Amino acid sequence: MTFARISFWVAILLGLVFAEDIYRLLFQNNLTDTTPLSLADVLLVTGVMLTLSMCISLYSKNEFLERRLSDLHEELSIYISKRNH
Amino acid sequence: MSLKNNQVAIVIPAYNEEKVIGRVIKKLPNKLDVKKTTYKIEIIVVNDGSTDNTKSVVEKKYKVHLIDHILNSGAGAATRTGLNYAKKINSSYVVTMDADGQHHEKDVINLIKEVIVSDKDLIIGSRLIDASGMPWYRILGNKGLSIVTFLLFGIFVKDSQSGLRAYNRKAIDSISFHSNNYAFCSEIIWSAKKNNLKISEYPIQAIYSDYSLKKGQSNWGGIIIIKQLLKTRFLALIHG
Repeated sequence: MTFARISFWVAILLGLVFAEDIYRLLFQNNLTDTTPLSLADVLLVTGVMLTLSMCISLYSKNEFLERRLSDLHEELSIYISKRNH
Repeated sequence: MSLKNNQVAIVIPAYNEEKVIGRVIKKLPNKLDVKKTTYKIEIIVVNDGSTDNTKSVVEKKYKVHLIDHILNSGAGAATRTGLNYAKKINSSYVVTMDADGQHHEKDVINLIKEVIVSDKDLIIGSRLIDASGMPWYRILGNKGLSIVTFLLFGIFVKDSQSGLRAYNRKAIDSISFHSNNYAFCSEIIWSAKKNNLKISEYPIQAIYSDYSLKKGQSNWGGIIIIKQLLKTRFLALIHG
């Protein structure tokens, strides 16, 4: 696991451990004093998150297919060159 | 698996290089003596879907192994094909070099000798240790990409984009990269770092002609490389 991945998960862990303190800090500075989200807002945010997740998944799949195609092209080129040699 | 221990492969990825590829190949030796051992040199040209006569120039005039890419896939893909072929024929050492004539044959030979006698796994022929003769905008672009490589992958080499490199068998077996364009230069360094390979740089003198300047990477090409490197880093974060 790379350093960046470890850092990412450590940040998540710290966020969970200090969730109460962070909330208290936000509350003291009136940063939680906002209008409540409507159902439409919740649906919109959920939709955006799902779309983002789907984009990342499709991007990864596309990258994987690109690599497979590249490998196939390489194998084919080497095979033909050996046959012609 | 038996190794042909005395074989060095020189991989030359080429795209539309009919004007110079003949001269580049002609200058390379067929064998080399290092420390009382004779090494056979196998020249592998990967014609990356050239639209000119690169293929016919190479196959008619010179005794080299020609691999023909059906589709133009980029310098990274062509280099990968050459390296994988060198691995398949059990070469003990591999040198990659550009086909545009910017590398001096003396530097190629020196690099081969260096990788054989030293304990380094990957040796990069650095044009920036002594950058005299290199246009200022090239120095700027190459240094910029070396800094980007350091920021993204945590490894600093002076000339991360040099095409002249020497690999020993350990490096050939362990390095993997997926970039098809020139971003492969930085990705190889990253892969070497991940595999704990010993990397060093060796000073070389690049030959800058009007032709090689026209054929080489522009600074706009540098932006495309950075984009590809960011993509590579992002995907590594997701998949590990």
